[in-house]
Amino acid sequence: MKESLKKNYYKTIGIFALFLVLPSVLKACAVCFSGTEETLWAFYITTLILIILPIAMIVSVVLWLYKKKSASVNQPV
Amino acid sequence: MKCLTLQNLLVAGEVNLGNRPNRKPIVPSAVFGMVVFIVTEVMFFSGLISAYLIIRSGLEEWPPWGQPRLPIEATAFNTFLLVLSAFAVYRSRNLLLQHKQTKAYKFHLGAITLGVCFLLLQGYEWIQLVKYGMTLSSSVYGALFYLIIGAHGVHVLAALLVMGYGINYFYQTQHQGRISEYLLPIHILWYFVVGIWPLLYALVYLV
Repeated sequence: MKESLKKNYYKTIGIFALFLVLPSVLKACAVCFSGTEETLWAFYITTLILIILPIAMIVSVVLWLYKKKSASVNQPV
Repeated sequence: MKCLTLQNLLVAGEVNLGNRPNRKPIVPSAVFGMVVFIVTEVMFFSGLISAYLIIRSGLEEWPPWGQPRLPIEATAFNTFLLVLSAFAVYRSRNLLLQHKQTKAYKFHLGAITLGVCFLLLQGYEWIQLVKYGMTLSSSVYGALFYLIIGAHGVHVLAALLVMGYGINYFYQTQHQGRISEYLLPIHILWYFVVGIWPLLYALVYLV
């Protein structure tokens, strides 16, 4: 049992060491590393818009439904 | 603040739950469904617009050299027609709420006619652009133009078909007095299709 645990321990250390030694940085993103400055800014801004827009729309729909619900509750029977 | 669960907000339909009285939904399912659909379509167009902006920002010259000039003035007139159709729908809706169904029907037909004119004029412009050499494969400029404007055109066509289907409600006597409720999702779709066009026109044609 102790020996198998030792084996697993060394295996883990070996794999971790491989991850430290083997990889190198790959500048693969076409926008971040080979695009122009304008492209980078366009990418950042449109990404921001695409993140904010669905959240804003969903929040608006929920608020609209909540207002409708409040109005229907306050209506006299 | 009460828990904002969807069930809580929508309220079950006209189902009798024992000791609870029947209640009308606070938002008709058709209207809610149309709103959800429009949210997804807004994201679709946002994706197209963001792709357009990113690609365009990477090119020094826009439009690229050798591409035909877009018909800005003719499309401005087209935009006017489309916006007029939205006013026709708005007027039709107001008349329906006043129970003036014959007049509302005329405005509804007018909106459809203006939409058809918009599509036909856009089609004519496209034929001219193709004759001048701007196609989907001629350049990234042509590809983006036909993709974005074409996507909008397909939406206009679909909305026109739905508006045409809405004419049925004016003829069915069992719906008299409630036509405005049945047409509301259709009108919302038309407002969306008209509302997004000025943004696309400004982005693709003007800027």
